[in-house]
Amino acid sequence: MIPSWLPVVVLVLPLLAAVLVGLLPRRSPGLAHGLAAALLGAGLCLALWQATAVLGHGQAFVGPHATWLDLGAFTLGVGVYVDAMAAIMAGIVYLLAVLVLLFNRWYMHDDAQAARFPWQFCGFVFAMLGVVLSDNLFLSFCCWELVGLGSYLLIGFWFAKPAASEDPEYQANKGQGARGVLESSLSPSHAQLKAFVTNRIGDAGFLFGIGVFLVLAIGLGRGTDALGWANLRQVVQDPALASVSCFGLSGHALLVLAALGVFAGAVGKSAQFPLHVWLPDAMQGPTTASSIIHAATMVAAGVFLVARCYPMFPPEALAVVGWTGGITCFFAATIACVQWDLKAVLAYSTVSQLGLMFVGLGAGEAAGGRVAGLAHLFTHAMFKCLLFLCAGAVIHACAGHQDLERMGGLRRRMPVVAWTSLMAVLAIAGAPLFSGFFSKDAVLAAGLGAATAEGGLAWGPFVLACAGSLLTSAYMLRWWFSLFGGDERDASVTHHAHDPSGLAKWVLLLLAPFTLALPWTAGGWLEHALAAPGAAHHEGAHGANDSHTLDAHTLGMILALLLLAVGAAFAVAVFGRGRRELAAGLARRFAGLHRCCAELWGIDRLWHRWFVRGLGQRGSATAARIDLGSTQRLAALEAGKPGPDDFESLDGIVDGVARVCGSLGRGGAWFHGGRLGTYLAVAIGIGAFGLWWGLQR
Amino acid sequence: MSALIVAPEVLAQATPYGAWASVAVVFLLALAVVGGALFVVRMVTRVFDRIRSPEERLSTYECGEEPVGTAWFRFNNRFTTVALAFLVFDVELALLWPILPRCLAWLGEGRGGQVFVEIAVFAGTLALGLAWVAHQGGFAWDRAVVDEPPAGDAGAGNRVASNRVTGNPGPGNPGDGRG
Amino acid sequence: MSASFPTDAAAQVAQLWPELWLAAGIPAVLVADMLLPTAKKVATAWLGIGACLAAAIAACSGAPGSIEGMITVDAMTPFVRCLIASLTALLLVLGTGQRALADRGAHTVCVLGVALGSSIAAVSANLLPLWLGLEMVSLGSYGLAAWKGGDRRAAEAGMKFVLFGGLASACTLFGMSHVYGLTGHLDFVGIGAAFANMPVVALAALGLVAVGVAYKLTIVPFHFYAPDVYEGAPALSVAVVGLAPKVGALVALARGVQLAVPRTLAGPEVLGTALAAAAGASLLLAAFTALAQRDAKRILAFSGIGHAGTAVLALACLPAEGALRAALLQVLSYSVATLGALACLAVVEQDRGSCRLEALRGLGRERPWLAALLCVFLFSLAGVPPLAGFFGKWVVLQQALGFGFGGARSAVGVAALLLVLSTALSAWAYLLVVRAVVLQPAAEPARPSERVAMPVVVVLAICGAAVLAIGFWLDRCVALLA
Repeated sequence: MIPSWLPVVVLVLPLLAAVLVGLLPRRSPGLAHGLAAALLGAGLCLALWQATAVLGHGQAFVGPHATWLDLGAFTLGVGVYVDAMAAIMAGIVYLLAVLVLLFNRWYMHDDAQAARFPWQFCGFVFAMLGVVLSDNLFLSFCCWELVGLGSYLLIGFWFAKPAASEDPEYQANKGQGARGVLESSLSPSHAQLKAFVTNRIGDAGFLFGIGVFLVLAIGLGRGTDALGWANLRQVVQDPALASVSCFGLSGHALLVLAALGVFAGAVGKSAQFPLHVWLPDAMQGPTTASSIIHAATMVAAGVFLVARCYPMFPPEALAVVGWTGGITCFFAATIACVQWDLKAVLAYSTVSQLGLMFVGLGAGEAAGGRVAGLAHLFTHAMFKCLLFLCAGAVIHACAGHQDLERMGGLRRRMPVVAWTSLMAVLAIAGAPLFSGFFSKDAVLAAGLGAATAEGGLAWGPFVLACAGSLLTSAYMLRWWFSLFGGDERDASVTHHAHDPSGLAKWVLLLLAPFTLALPWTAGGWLEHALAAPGAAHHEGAHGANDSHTLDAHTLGMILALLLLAVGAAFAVAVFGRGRRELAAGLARRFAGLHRCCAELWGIDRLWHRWFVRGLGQRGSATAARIDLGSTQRLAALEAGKPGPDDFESLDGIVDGVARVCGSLGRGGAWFHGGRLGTYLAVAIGIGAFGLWWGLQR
Repeated sequence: MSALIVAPEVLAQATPYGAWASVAVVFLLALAVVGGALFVVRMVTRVFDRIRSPEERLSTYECGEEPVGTAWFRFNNRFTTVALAFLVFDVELALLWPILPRCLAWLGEGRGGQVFVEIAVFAGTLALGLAWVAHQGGFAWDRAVVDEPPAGDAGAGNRVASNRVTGNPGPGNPGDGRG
Repeated sequence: MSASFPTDAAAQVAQLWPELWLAAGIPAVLVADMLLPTAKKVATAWLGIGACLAAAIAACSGAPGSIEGMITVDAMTPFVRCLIASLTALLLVLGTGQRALADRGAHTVCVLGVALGSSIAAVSANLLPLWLGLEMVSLGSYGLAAWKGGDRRAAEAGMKFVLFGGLASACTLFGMSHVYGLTGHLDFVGIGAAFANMPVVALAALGLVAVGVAYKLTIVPFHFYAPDVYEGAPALSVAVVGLAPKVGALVALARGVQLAVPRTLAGPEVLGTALAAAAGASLLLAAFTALAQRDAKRILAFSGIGHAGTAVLALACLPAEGALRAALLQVLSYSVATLGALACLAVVEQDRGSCRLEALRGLGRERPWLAALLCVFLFSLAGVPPLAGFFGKWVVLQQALGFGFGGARSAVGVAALLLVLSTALSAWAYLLVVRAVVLQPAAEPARPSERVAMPVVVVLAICGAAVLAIGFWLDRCVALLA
């Protein structure tokens, strides 16, 4: 067994790194990157040790736990819990963190603020590890919020950059397809705010879910470590759950509500429809930050949380998960098809792939959905990280240009980037022998299994996922061919391009093998490890459906291949052969559809209209009315005069009370004006009153 | 008047306020005497009033002298220290009397030493105070009037703080506006 | 009173050591004042400090006892005497830091006289020593209030003090004569026993006696002199007049309530209601009126009225266990913080000639440490949690709320709510001072300020440490009071 300190050290090492690196002087980015990478490297070794130990043992490790809050009726604690998926996820987080940090040293070598990156990055990694290793929902939520904070810092890393509408460079270089983006609010400082606020909407649901879980736990008398995973599992399985009732809702309804609440948090963090709008904007951050956000930390947290809470998700909630995933998977893929910005394509592909993971998760344990979703999370982390690093290399090489239409032929100038990114593209498209094939096939198989088992509406997520997969292979190959294939289209953009140097190149080369299927499928270790823990009660069902799922598995594989073939054939035919006018013709032929996709299905605009302008501005006006008072009052106050009394606003009440007190005080002060006669009269008056009052009794 | 002079016991039974009524009676008597006297004087002066002009009636009265200005300014109160010192000794002497019987009893018990110490301490303290006042110049009769600076430890030797004339014979010092 | 002088006179006199030390200090100072040259008069203050320290040390070892029903030394006496003597010592130390203090020898005598009077009032169990103590306090206070030679405000303050003091003394004497007339007793226990068989109305005589005590405590409606005296008198005199006499008067009031009022009436239903009414009136008036003040010392005067109300509210719960302790802790925290604040204001007064809020502006820039300490003391008075003042209010509130709001006892509870309300309100008044000191810039450019004198620094340090320590070692402090 692993020593009990190990997971704790694995958890807090990035925090230590963040503090230490944060204390370093600003002038030495190299030292900061080196120290952070060294500490994270040490953590990687420990995490790998932990992973091998946990996987070898085949059993979850319950680490140290301390009670933080003891309210009698319930206790909340802080502790670590390492099962197979946590161990693997921690390993992946560490591996990608180290590699991204090393790559970043090259990527930011001419950035004056580079020394700020490592400590923010380490803090971010710490937060994510907290979500992964925590042993209860409460600690998860705390770290979840820290993840939000970390993303806020990293997305706004270049916070001084102006909005796109006021950035001449952006205006000069933006591509033809740049529609649907609100340029006036496209800047790092806007994006970080958007990411944070959008996540808050989901987090409200998360908090609500936690509250419902607390109600359930306390209602069933299981208040000790109320939100611990083990305790929550027992709460769900408690036969007395059916008898719980709160606000007229049955125990099962409460459970569905709680699960949906937690899922709402995941929708925000993992950028699912309709809260996905922050993720494309988050591209405003450094590409290296994007690569960790899209791979191992931020967006992975939502998927991981749903997988972590899987025993607590009743079928109704899983159906919602599946549908949300399916919708997101398809519609994000349609948007990705028409984006001109090379990072935006990747951003929407992430949204789409996350949707695919949720389709897997929504399929249910019996259909192997949880394993499939997690497997895709892990494989996706690797190839998406690699894709973003490659994108960063390209952007860096092309002096900040991001327009796909002006690239091309880069495979000759930057071969390492071209071929490693091709591996990643093939992986995400789901080509055989690549990791994406293995995991995507698992997801589709799970979806198919669930659909055939339940029928009816359950086909929805599966069909949407298939459509999304078809598009994925098409737009990813379009992406690659536009960048690296064919001839140079705009030499002014690409003529300086070259492969990244030194360590950064090795980072890409090191990541490339993980896009292959072999590291994941060797001996079926991943499926075996993920299926083992806590699945005892599912074992029977799994066994009974074995032949059925096997059937689905084969079907899923065939289907995945078909989708890949069609999508890839289209992309190769149009973009690989340099017949881009065909694509333009298609866009004209289906102008309405194309416009819809280019306008991001109008969802960003809807959010802006309803939330930012509607709720935000009208809400702030209402709040100002309640807080500060009527407009006349405000006008008077701004003119420096005391406003009219207004006991309908908070400020007016405060002012009114203060005014009344002040008048009383001045009245009292009049009696103390130094006139002896007044003093004597008042003293005698009060004394006489006291005497009279005493005599009455 | 004789009807008001009632034994306290009778009052205590007669009134709901019991013994406290005696206090009220004293108050009433005091009010009646003072008020009655004022009333009588008022009536008498009204009848025998020979001064008709209000200016003359309100002017400062000084026996045998024509008054100059008002009396509302600060006086050189050079007598106060002497008067206060006299008052202190007067009162303290009165305080010596009550302990006399007790001292006589002690003398009878043969505790003469204690009697001596008690009275010596008492008289010694008084004498010390007297000496201090003298040292401060409290008994110096004909002194120059010092218009001292408002602050400073200068005149600690031969001066009494209140012994001065200011050049500001303004009307009193009604309360300055506060608050 | 009929018993002959006890044979173990020495043993009984030994119970009076603290008062004797203070009393011995007065002639010593007088002699020194006559012998010393002008430049060395400051030594008289050190003599006085020595007497006070000796009194404080002697107070700590006082065993419970009584002299003829005149003087009572009980469990709380050591603390009270020690507090009075220490406060006086600190005041004298503060005085040595004031170079321009006029008539230093006489000043020391007056301060010692006030301390002696307070101490006697605090240990008296008889109307005669109580009267003696109150009058000693009065005579010293009158002089001290007008100590700023040539200052019309100070003279006015002294005059008002005398006029009202005379009235209060007259009331007290009038009441005493009635008490003696009604009961034939002057000692508290005898009075209490005799009143037990009389109608409640007779207690009005005791009420008249209480006027003198209320005057010293600045309880509404006998508080009127306080703002004028605080404003007009120099800060040092304010500290003398406002601290030790309040301790003495409070303890005298507590003893009177405990002994002189019949047991049947001393509960919260009758006497408690009256005391709570007085406390509530003081609290409310102080809180509201302080809002309209524009002079830091006047604000402190109303603060004193409010804090006296708080202490009296504790006495309203008196038969209850811990009520006295609460009152003493309250008065301790109040005196320490007020002494510190007045020490700060004394420095300001020397610098700028006034303690009006306009004059305080820019102090934070000119003397940051002094301003910071002043703010700490004011926050303590306002009842901000880690500081002493909060705990002083808190223990009283705890006591008072223990009575609940049922029936005849509700007056105490209502007064407790008023305490909460007034605490919130009066914070504004303190913040007025803090705002002037910290936030508002000085009207004129900062003058080169001379260093704060060492004795003042010492006093400030002691007060600041006490304000913090009382909060941190609350349990120890409560244990000390027992």
